Amino acid sequence: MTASLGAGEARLPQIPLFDLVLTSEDLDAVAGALRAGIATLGPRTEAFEKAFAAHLGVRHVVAVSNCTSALHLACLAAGVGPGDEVLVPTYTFVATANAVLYCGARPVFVDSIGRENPSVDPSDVERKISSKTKAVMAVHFGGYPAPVDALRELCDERGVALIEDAAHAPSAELAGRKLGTFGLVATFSFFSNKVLAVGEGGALVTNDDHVAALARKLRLPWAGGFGYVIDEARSALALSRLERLDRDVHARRRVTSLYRQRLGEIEGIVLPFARDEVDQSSCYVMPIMVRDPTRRDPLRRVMKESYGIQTSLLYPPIHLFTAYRKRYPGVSLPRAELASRSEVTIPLFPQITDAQLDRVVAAIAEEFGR
Amino acid sequence: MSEFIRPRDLLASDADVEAVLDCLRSGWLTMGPRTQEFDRALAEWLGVSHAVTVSSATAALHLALLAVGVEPGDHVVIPAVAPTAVASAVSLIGAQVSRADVGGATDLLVDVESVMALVGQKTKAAVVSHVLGLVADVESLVRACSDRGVVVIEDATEALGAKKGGRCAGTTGQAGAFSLGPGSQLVVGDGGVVASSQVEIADRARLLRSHAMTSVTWDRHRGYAETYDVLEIGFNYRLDEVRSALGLSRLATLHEGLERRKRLASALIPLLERSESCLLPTGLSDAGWNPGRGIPVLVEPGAARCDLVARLEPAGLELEPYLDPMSLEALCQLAPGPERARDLLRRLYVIPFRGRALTEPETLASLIGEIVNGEP
Repeated sequence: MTASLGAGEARLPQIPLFDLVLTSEDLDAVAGALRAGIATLGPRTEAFEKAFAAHLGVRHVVAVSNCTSALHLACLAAGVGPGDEVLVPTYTFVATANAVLYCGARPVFVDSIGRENPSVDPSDVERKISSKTKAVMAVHFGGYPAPVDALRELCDERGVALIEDAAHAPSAELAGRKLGTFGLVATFSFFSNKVLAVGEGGALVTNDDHVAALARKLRLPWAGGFGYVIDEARSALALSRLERLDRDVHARRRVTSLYRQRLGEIEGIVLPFARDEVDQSSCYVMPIMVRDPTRRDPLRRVMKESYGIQTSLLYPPIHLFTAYRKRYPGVSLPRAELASRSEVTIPLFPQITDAQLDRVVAAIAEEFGR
Repeated sequence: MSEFIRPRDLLASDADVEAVLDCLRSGWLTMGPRTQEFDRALAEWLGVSHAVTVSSATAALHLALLAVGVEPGDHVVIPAVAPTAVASAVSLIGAQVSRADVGGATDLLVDVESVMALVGQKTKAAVVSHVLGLVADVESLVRACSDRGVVVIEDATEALGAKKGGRCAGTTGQAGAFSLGPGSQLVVGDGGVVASSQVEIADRARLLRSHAMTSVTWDRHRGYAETYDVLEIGFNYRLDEVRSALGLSRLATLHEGLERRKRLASALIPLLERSESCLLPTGLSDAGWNPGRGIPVLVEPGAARCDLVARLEPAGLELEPYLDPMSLEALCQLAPGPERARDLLRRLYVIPFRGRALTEPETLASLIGEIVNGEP
């Protein structure tokens, strides 16, 4: 038996942005965890941590309540504290910068390379790195590798920690090495729309024994910890889904390649990242960039109203949020801002059908009059 | 440890499991209709206007403090005897913490006069903890604090369903924090709740639990919101749909579960009262006491304690310290607290209600009976 997304109200759009398909094995794993009666910090969490560590080829995995918790612990483990600065890409989810503020430090925002590659720009990192910089954060946007090889070199040279936010990127690689293994510490998300979704969940991974020990202590709900544990039911689901992760990622790559073939010739859009990066990516989402940003909202409207296709925006740049403009006014990062104004995320999930994919392509082609 | 005597903090019924599987089959796992319904049902159960479910007890305490307006540099008075999460939550904000003394040598609850003696210019809030289900005198504290402009927050993380004067612990102060994690009365895995009768406090807790975003994924999914702003520095303290489904299912039998714990406690307390191995804290005969984690006992370090431990442990009923040594150290580092409370914390143990205590209460009763009667 297969349980597919969206019974009832959850399946409003005809083609949803993402679809989560759980198998009978997944359901059995969760039921087993509940019947075993251990709430947290039990054998299933330990088993998941071991299995995910083996999958990534890393010494330690510390499973936690969500990726924001993992980012907080990662910053603390990197020694980030009051008075420090941490370089953070602005073009990502707000949690990446919030984690720095939780430590009492200041996030310094870094621009993207451009619409063709929305990842953090290493030359802007180099410009902004200072004696106050304690760490550099890199985000593997959409599951595509940020230039962590170059950043690693720069960070080593300057004696600062590299933190990889690999929320989008389980199983993605750069030069044959899994993302999340380039820096001092990396974080993963298991949020409901992610590649390895369990609901709420996250993990911190590291090869450093001290980082792992600190994270294990600080995730506890006692002994001065922050109560960041994950429970056994979610660990059981993560462990069960991990077995199909490579298959899921393979399917995502296939869909992404089909999209790229079919959308590549449409004049009005830019496809970020290169074709040969698809086979390294976890293909978490399918972002497209509309050349003329004023045509983005009309495109989304046509897709939704005429074709029943759900789309999304990934992301408003962090420095433009009210909370951040109040704290740090006057920040301008033009390439990330343009990318954000241009971006539309179109449906991508392993089980998307050819007919659904045809319909998404047709909607975009119609709007741009191919 | 064998499978049989492994601690069990969560006894899920077939209906509970089915509720979770139903949620998983729906494919929507985060902050959707089930969480909305769980929030509503919890508020109704507690008899309070608003309940906001969150990811853990620490998160509940942290958000309760933030929602009433505690800021970095403020001062907060907390009880000297309390779960370490209370002190951790205050320190997460960057506020200063002082620990107020207990009411007496066998009293686990904070003394109102000791709290007020620590209130100063910078004191923004006082936290009162209902330790191990014993209900503190919140009304007196609220009266004393309101004259000084100090907000009262109830730490009910060990007291879901405990009552005083017919009113649930955690619903009298400006905000209350509850646990849905291990050892609590309503285990959903890990989780917590912020409760308040004030809509502004509940709204603020709701905003901050999901990164202070102006819309949540569920709204965007349904086409109600296109994009979002971030208004403040918030957190990911969300509970997911799976745990909300479990919580909703278990809420239906919560009352029954609490009654079972109370019956078990009332069978054991008369035996323990006769014991020379331990002393019982004040308040265990109060009708409103509702044990979640277990029965508190005060034991002298040494032979008597060892006797109790040695007899309970083989049956999987290990006597556990209220705070482990690591927690005690972390707490005293943050704020040393009064000597009397430190001594009390060193002697405070819990006979935990889990494993065989819940599945075979008779075993626990007869075992404790044997210990008390000095039978081999």
